[in-house]
Amino acid sequence: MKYLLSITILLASLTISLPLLSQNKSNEDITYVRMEVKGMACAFCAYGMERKLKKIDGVENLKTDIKKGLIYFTTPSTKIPSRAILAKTIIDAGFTAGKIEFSMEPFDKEPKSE
Amino acid sequence: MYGQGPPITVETPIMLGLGGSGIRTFNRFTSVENGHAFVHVLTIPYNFSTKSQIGIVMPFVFNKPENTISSSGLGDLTLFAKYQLYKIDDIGKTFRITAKITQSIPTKSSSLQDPNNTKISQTYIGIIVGKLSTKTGIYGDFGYNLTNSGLTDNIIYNISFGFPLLEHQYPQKQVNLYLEVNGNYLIDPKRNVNFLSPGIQWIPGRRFLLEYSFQLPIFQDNSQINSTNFRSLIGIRFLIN
Repeated sequence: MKYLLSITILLASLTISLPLLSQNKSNEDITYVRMEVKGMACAFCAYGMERKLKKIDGVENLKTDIKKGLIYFTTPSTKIPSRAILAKTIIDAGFTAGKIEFSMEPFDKEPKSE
Repeated sequence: MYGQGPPITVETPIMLGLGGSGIRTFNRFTSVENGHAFVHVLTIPYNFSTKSQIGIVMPFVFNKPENTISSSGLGDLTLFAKYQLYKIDDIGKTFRITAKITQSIPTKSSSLQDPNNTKISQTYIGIIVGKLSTKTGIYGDFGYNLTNSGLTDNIIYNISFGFPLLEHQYPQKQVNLYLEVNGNYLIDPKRNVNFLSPGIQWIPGRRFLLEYSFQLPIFQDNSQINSTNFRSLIGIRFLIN
């Protein structure tokens, strides 16, 4: 009986803790990226930029703030594109690359999702 | 959050988005002294590098001259190439200069009622300048048009001012107003034609826009030839991928 009770408590603990562990792991796996794109001053310019970025493996949740010239996206930490690749993508889209930042936490004042 | 679209009757030096992989099509109705013409124009550009673009303009012409038979068909084909000469970018703004050369190939269905369908071979060499910020856009194109068949060459000059009408959000719902001037100066004999062209543009989403421009002559000293009453343009532009 004592043995059965121990097994039950162990299973219950696992049931509760596994999703939490999984959630923590998921957060750790995401990297937030913020890029400054100079020259992106029109709606279709932004679309052209987004289209180029979407071709990079792992780029997800793209958000654009044209006024501030910023593009935000997330990527799995195992697929983080290098600064060089991102800068080249910006140049190939016809713009000028500014600061490119990576973070484990979301950036402040990101534009709202659609 | 802000952002504008391209000018309507003036060239843009920005070869991105719609300029690079999109299609522009519009209908232009031209009313002249001795009749009218309806032209459906299809423009397909292709960027083969960040700085270079080629393309073709295909007009389908419907002529209705007064006191004579109507005609229709493919109008003058125009091949064009653009090359970016200068670019300076900053946050939410850009200034660019682009060179443009076009070659028109006349067809049997050319139209004297429409300015781009004159039944003569023409070569145009010009410069496009644009200063675009998230709040205003100023564009200009200026060039020399060489004609054959013993007709006069001409200087073409256009300027556009664009203003966002609403505080819009990217990517949805943008409305832009344009005030544009279109000029054509004939060298010999010296004649000048100017149009004032107010226009409006609606961008409902990322890949599509609608535009309308009404072109009213404000000065034309070619009235003894065939003066224009007005032109009206309505069109769409969309990205194909």
